[in-house]
Amino acid sequence: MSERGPEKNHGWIEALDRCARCGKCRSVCPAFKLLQTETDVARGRISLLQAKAEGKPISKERLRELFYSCIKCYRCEGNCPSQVKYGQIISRMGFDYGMEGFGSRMMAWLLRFMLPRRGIYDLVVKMASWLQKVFPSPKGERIRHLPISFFHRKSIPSLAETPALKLSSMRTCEEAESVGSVVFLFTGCLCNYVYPEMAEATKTVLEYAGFQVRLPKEQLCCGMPLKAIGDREGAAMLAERNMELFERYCPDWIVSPCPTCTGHLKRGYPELWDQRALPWSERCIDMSELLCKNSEFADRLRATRRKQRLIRITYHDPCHLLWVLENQEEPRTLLRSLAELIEPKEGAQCCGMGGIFSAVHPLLAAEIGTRRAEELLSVDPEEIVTGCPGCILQLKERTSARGENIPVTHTAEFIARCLLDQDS
Amino acid sequence: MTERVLKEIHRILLDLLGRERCRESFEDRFCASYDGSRQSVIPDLLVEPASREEISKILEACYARSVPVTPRGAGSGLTGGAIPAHGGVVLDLSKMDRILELAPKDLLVVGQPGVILADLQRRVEEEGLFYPPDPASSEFATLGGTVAECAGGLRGLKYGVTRDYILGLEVVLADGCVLRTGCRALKSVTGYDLTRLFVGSEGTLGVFTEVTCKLVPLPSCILTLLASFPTVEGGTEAASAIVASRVLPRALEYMDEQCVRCVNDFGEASFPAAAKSCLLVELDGFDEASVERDEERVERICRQNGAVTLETASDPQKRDALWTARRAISPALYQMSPQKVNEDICVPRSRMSEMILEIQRIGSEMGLTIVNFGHAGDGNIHVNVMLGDEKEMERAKEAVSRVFRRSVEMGGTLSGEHGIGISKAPFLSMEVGRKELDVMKRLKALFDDRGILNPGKIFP
Repeated sequence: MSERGPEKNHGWIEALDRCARCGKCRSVCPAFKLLQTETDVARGRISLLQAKAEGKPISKERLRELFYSCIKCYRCEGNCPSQVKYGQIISRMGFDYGMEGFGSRMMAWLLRFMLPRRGIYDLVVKMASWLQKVFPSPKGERIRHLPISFFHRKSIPSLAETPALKLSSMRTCEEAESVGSVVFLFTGCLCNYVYPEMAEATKTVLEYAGFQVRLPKEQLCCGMPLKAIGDREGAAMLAERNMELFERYCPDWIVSPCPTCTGHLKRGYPELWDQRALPWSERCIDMSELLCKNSEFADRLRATRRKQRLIRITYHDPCHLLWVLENQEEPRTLLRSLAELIEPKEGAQCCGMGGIFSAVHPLLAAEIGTRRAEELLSVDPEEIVTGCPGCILQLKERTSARGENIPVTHTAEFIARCLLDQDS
Repeated sequence: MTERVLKEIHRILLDLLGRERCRESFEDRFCASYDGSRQSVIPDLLVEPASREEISKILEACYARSVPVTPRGAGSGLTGGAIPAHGGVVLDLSKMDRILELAPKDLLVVGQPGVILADLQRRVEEEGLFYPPDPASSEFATLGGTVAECAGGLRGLKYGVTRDYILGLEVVLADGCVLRTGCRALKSVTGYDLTRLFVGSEGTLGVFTEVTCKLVPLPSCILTLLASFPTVEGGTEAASAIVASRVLPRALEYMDEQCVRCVNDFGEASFPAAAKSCLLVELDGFDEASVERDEERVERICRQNGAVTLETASDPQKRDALWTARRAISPALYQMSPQKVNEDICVPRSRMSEMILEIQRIGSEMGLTIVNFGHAGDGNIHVNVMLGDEKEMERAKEAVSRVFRRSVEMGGTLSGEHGIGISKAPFLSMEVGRKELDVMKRLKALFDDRGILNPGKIFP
């Protein structure tokens, strides 16, 4: 990607200059906890970017490397005493240096070709799922290794038979009825191809709460994977295609079972499209926050609680739900009305999944994930509940790697199950 | 230091540590060039030793060639202590992060210099023990760094500062020889107290490789109280009265009018609206009755000094809520103006009120906004001169210099807990006399005759 000249660096320098170099990010960064090198923490990256902007001899290749050693969990931003906008800084770092090198450019080219074409995307996933059946995992467990070398040791989960967008249970009526606000259900790729049940559950719960759910089939990947490899144009293209859909359907709310998608729609789109994205940005919301706006719904959940034995669960905060969407209490409020919620003493910690991060740094991701799984298991829960398909993927893998066979459930699935139990 | 010497030292350290732990790339070196004071000098090499033996060999090699060596922890200091002012080698000790021994029966813990302070505290608290020094950076600062800077923090009034908790040290001197000071016993008067000399020496006398810390029992009852006053003097006078009444709070935090206003205008939390100053008091002990008795006394004193609101909490969540506005100060100050000069003078406790008024007078005379908050119990005031633009920098420096002079005249000090480093070196002679300075310099020469350890610090 082309670098911006110094004349365009005005706001950029100010954004970097906000960092007081206090070092607090060293205490919250999950990758730094293991790497312990200053270059791999927000303060180090910010200092290097500033030095680069001042013309110091800092190599683009190294900046690219350091862009990929960031999980992009936003914990440092959420905890920064100087309120440095690290999210914007790391995005720009990716756009400027992420695509240095042939590998990333090839990857971007492939993704740019596949992601906007739903038919081809479906076909590629279908082929991958056949491959999984040809090479089943030795133990026949849920998670199988796909024999593709660029994933290193990262295992990828078994793909769903039918993607969420094609499920018959997900059919929604196309015309808006006169009652209830309209929710655009944005499935996101992971829920669409791997965990369609989470999209289904989100739909069930939202409809139960009186929302009209729309699931436009034309929706595409939110573009986060392209942003994560620093492809600004590709990310902007997908953002535009999705925004055109929002403009056509004019939903009151846009909800995704994946907080990374929601976070990107809410914060990433305005970074790419400014004003045009703002009306939709305001309407992007996590299911938990939307449900908590309606006090009646909480009462109905509490009514469910009385009829059941309380199961003992623990809740894992997905980083993007906690630090980007800032929903800390909302999921807890919902879950507490249905179950006995016990929290690990370490509080909210990253699971190490981080999308591209776990493909580039599989061993680091696994170590962070194992540590998190141990923390969650330490409170001896019957079930782990969290609000993100990425976290679920990671936590399922890490708990089963420790020989634990504990259910890891999406908040929407948990609530939907309680509601259905009550109805039956 | 010539190019040839540098090449030689690079080769030796590379042989000793390998490429992974002896870094020469510009990016790695740049990331060892700064600290919380936002100054930056790029070292020639960054090394990450893992043991006393390695540190000893590195220093021996550097000493033989007069190459400067600067020890570094988390780089969170505020006066440039970890900045390699004269270039040379930076010793990053943050990977020597093991707790070597926890001895509950001896009430002590032994740690390597790179242990994160909060990790050490959490570990000893599991055993019902307490390591009280608590700088705001405790979640990321290293044990070695806090010893080198003699970190203070919120609990100074009741529990003292880092120097009161260091029983012994293992130190590598400039020439590479290893020294052990102090012992595991609580009392010891065998010869000079070298341990105390090293605590707060800012890495200029030796490199710590092992720190033995004293512990105390962890108090079980904690009570927090937030009082607001309609006048500036209300808060400081109540603080002095609390100290004079023989109650010893674990924390006694003062926030002045500008500070309260800044948090209310820019912060995510807020102090009571009518407040012109606030006091946050935290009491602790081992039985509820005595803590509550102290609390009643503090409450009475606050009311006598005109407190308009008083809130008390004892359970952890509610106590935490009372601290939120205090914690919001730092981010709120950044919202108000991203650039500021932050100093940490400390005056005798009885002069606290007078000093605060003096600072405000200096601020208004010079047309600067100065926000004060700090550890009222021990007279430690954080003076924040807010800068609207770069042009105010000269005036801010002048104001700071006047504040320093007044502090010393009152029997106080330039720095309560941040150290002198590079930032305050020009002011040292305001407080330290010629003869005293001479003794300090001779001591420095005794430990490090070639001046290779953290040169450019403390001395003007």
